[in-house]
Amino acid sequence: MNASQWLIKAMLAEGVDTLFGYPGGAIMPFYDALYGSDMRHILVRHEQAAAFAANGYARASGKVGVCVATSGPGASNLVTGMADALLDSVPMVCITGQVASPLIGTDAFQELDVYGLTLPIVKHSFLVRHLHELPEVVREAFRIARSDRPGPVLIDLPKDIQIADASELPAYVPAPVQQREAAPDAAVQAAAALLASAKQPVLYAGGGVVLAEAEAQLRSFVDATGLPSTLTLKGLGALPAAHPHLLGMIGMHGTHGANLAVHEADVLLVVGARFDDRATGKLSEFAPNAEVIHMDADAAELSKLRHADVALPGNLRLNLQHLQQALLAHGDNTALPAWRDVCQQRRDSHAARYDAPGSGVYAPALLKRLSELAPDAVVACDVGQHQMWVAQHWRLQRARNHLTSGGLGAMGFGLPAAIGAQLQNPQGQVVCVSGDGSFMMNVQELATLYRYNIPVKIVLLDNQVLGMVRQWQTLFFDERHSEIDLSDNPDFAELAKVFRITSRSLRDASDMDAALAELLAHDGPMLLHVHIDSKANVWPLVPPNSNNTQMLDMHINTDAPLPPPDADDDSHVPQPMATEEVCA
Amino acid sequence: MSLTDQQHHLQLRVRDAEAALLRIIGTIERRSFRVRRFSATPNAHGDWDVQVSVSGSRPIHTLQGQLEKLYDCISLAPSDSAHA
Repeated sequence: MNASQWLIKAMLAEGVDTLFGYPGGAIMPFYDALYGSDMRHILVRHEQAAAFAANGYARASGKVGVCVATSGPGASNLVTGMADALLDSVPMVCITGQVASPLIGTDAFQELDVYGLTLPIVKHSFLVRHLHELPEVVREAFRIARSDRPGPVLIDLPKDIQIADASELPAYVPAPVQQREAAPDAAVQAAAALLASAKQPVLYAGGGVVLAEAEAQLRSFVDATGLPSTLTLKGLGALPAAHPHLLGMIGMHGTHGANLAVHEADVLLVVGARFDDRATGKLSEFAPNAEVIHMDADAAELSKLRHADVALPGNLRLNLQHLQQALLAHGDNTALPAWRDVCQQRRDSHAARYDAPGSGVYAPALLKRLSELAPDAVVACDVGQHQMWVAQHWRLQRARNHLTSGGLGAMGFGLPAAIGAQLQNPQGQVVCVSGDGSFMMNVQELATLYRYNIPVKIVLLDNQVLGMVRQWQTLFFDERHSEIDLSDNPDFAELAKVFRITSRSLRDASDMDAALAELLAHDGPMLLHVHIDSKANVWPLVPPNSNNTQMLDMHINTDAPLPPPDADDDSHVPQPMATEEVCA
Repeated sequence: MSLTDQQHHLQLRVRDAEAALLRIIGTIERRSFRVRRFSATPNAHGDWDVQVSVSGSRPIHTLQGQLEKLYDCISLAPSDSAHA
């Protein structure tokens, strides 16, 4: 048995059943060991897609995703997927071939210092210098990837190590899973006292809830305490979309109900969220009157951007349970019902509208309808306007059903991530929602869909423009539309057919239900090419350097401002922006 | 060093592993601090004893938290001076 064969056995022992990768010179011994092994390998058509597919596999399952590439360009092509995994805390192990040890540092063919290249974008990395290091490297790589705040780990494996005789290496034993301790009881009691005396408390939860597998605890907490609640982009689904206490998404494209409630909160309970700038808007004006209780598994997030009056580090599941018990022991908060009513009325009065004029397809209406037709589907998004429309209008029931490149915002993520999600749950429904800009960044993966008959359903929202950039140029750059025109797009339905993927085009809203029904019922992969208005925008929008009450909002026809929903509430009125204040 | 910057001194014990010292320095700089003084000495345990002085306008705990998360950082403590 050589080291490559040993490594495959070790990964099988770790529970890995699928690798996503692409072979090449410096990883050939590993691929030779794969031949005839029990490990499934998915041959993608670009290494970036291997990293995104492993990423999607991990996000949807909670398991460690594994991708493989050769040295040099193979390794560098993984970089975007690794960075995405770091910023969104996705457990991944990335294996790269490296030139043989004697050649390292000689500028050999396809030699690249991927170890140095990726230092800032990995949770940790290993370059295996000696065979005897391999068992500890693999054990630590998987342990680090999945423990605490998950992330990507690189194993750079020189070619001579891959072929070394591993018959003397010990049998592989995975590292045990370690549970984190709960926060000190004194901190829990302090948090409970603060919430019990609050007049306008709000809960703001994020992706940390999902990473900690604490959805059940969060739902129990919200049900029991009745706190008005909001979710970040990464937290969407942690509470079901129709939960009565959920005010919607917070932040730049969040709801009026959520943003106004947080702005007026006197106590803000932050659970598994990190005060990301897309969530907070202008940080110095975020929740200006609130005392903050911050619960997060990553102690480095506590008081990083906003001072935590009470910090609850450690095990998120236990902390939610303990805080729920401690808060309920205080009895009813008499101020809460009236505050909750205000929040819910505001949410309802600003509810999204789907009565778009004209005969064309209104993307938010399509996405809402599709999510109702496929309530258990995993939806993998690309990045741009369609991503925000999914966040706003897809009726999510479960957080792991929402795969979105939140931190890195990587166009090209959607299709390969959907492939990974589908392969970890072959019987499940997986939908990729993409835009015409993003889709072309990994369009080659249509070939992967065909090769393995992966039944991902693609909804391609084609507005023939880089829509989010156009929207910003319209709003903040004096309508100077620079390099956004995609009107010479290919016919995507025809393009799919070239890859032997079934496809259909959709132009009229009247055909929408039939097209969606056909898409979901199709046995195998299918692409629905949806033509939408090139001038449609994502509303609401908090301009840069503004606080979250300064939302811009427009009617769905994109021309007329919405009439004031409440004469006393002028927070929706568009605020003028000075050009020099604009920054992305 | 701007007028708002403060200087801090940290003492770390760091694993003697590939690029471990680069990770320390990279994390310091990526988190918007500047390295003002850096020394690393092998200790009897086969690790590095690192003394580093940094400057920056952000609270030092924001950097300490990131350094403590590094796999190769065995321990970290604030130090009174650059010569601790």
